[in-house]
Amino acid sequence: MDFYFVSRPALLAALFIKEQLREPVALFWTVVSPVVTYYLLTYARAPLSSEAVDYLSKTSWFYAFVSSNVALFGLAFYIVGRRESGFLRSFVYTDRTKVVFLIGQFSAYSVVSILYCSVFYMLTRIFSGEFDVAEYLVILGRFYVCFLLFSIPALLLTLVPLGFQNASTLFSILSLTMLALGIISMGPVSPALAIVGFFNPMWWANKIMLDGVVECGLVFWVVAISLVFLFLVMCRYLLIDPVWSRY
Amino acid sequence: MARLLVDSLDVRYGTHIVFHKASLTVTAGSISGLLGPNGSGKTTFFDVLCGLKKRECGEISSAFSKLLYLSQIISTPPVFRMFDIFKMTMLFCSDTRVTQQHALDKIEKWSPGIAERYCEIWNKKSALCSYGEKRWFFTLSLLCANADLVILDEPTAGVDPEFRYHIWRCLEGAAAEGVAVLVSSHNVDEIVAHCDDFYMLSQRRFNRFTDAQGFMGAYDAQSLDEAFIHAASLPKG
Repeated sequence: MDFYFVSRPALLAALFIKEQLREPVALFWTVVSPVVTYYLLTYARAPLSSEAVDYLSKTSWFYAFVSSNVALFGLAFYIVGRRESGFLRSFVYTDRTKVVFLIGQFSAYSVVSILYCSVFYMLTRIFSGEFDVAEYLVILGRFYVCFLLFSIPALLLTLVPLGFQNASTLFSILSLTMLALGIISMGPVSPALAIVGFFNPMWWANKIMLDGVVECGLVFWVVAISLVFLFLVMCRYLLIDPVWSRY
Repeated sequence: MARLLVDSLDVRYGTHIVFHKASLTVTAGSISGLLGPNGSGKTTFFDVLCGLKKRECGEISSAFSKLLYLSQIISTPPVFRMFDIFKMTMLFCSDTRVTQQHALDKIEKWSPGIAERYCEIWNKKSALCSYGEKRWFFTLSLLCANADLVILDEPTAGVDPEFRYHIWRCLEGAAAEGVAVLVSSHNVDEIVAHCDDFYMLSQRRFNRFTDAQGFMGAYDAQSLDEAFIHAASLPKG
């Protein structure tokens, strides 16, 4: 087994990252629009504060939202796109190529998630205080765990035979619903809504961003083990044929 | 000599029978053509060979070590140049690194004078390539990926006569080096002219022919297209 053989997922990931970076609209929509919303809300409510704890409590929902968008509209949506374009049918139908593709795709969007988190941190820290490397690294770690958390429902949705347009609509509905339920759960809620909130990944992501990975250790382990299991499921059941085709 | 043997294949979608006792052989170093009307099951057959569609019964045995398949429709990421798409494709299609030079050496050997055109498309942005240019580029690139069985689903559809000529030259060159090629097309003339043998998908079976006379004679026709039409209109039984 030579170096080229084992480095194929990394080489593929590099190409996928290059592809993502050449889509500036995606960067704008996923990162810049939450930043703009953050500033609008901040200016509307109170003067800016430079304290780290205030910063996180003000931005945790935004980080949770951005990480969900990377998982849904990056990781998962591009899998759907590659399937519907016929790319998977032509090149990714053996067990080996599925493993290369899935590792490459996941690695690429892991890097993209770190990039988006970094851009969001820098843009929101410009006016609220000094750049703090320690704070940045803590946020980065929490953000990545949130990305892993959202990757589970996102990858599961790629196993549903949906065409490109329907997948886009479903992902948008899911993203908005998670955010709306998360914001509702911030105030006093009925027991029924509390139960719904418990199953809302956005609520958990917000909790991870606020409390930290260690404090949410059980969640982290559930996410990690679920992802390993899901990877095996994906290798077996990844949809190859475009949904629009007859079969 | 390595062979792909398909024996008494039965495939169905629900109650719809696609193949019944269909048999076919593809041999190393030869080009086998596959003719059939739209919806007759050519792509389904390729899915079966790739392990994506289960068969009801029948045997498929292959002595080939590396199968590559180019599907009928493929779109490429528009932001990439074709050399990026070449790299991406080779990551899936070859266990060893395939360079541009490797591809150029082979293509130039198979069809002299075409390397320059290949280089032009190599540097072109995917979004600016026509459908025919992409199919031509993909077909030639796949042939360079060191596979011993190459399956091409209508590689010449939408390709102009010049590029079509070079595709066939390259297919013949690859076959001369021992590659087995299974190629489908709706252009009966090119299949008859370039393939060592060809199969007409009719009445849920593969009927083998080696020349135009045999094909026209079997379906009581005066031309190749007429033979195709007669074969396609036979009752499925």
